[in-house]
Amino acid sequence: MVEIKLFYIFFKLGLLSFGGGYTLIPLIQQELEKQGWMSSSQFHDLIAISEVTPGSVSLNTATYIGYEIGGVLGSILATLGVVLPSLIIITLITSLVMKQKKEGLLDKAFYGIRSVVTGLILSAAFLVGETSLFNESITVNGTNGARNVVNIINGKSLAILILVLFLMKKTKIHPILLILCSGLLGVLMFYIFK
Amino acid sequence: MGETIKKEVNIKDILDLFLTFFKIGLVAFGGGYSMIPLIEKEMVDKRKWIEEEEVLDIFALSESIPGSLSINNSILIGKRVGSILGAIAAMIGTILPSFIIIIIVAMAANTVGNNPVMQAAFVGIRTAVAGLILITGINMARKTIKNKLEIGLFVITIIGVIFMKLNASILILIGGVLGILYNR
Repeated sequence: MVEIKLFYIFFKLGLLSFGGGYTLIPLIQQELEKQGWMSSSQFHDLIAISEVTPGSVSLNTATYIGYEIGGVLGSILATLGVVLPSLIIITLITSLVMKQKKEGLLDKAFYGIRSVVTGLILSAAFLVGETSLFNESITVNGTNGARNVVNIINGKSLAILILVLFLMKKTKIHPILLILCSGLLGVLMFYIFK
Repeated sequence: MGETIKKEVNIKDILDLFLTFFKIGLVAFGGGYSMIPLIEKEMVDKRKWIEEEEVLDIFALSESIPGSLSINNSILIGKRVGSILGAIAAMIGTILPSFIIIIIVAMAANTVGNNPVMQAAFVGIRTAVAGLILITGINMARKTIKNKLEIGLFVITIIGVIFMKLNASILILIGGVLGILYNR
């Protein structure tokens, strides 16, 4: 049954999903080719949607592919398949982690990992905002001179960014509200008053 | 990351876990890291389920094991607050919003991505999320990045991810190894 296959394939993929959602994408693509389930262009359209909808891109991709291949049941099984490894692994290791001595090997490793994760967080800020804030990708054309910076940065997005930073720092407005209002601002600035 | 909260697991907490993670899941545009400001607001500030210092450890653990960041985070926090049941409630709460939205979009035959109104909204949303992550990240960096090793790992990570498109796993491994060597 194709639904069981979906569960099994995505369970396997879930076990391999290290280091961020995007690393899973090429693996998923390989599986799709192997199964003959979807064309390349269909897959790329699907990824684009999975990126803009809330939630992690790997999870959304699993749900979407599951639906396309096996209907609602397929999407449920694909999604369950991809998250089950996490549930099992965490359940197994948390008791292990708590038995670790203070100053043990794990503690020392985490000392370094914390700095890396802090860096990952700030990188995430850049990666999420990159397409909105910059008119060209600066990581590709990284050598533009100072006078071109004004052209590269999208002024309207910058305005939204400054507003959000200000409100986040100075007020207690809930982040969810800020996100939703920025969506509305986006419609105002980029659609209605183009 | 140590002790579980020593109290009885009660149904109210389980439900609360589900609803809170559902709420967060609805606006988690941009994946796992976009949850940070919301986790801080809802779980550290409002409910005091976890301490601020533990958020980084939770993310560190989530990055080190397979699975998407948001799922791992929800399971870890859920387990902390309400044991296995809490972990499952938190996990389902995280999965459900995106699951429902994707099914709706798939049924509506992919018109969301091409809709110009939606695209305009997403530009605003992505900007806001980036800003929120930025502030949270800077606050965290201020507290944790002090000595040369920490600064080095921090800078290498940012350069590696943004400019060299390195896989986070490699950086986590480097961080772990250097952490052990530094504290020998």
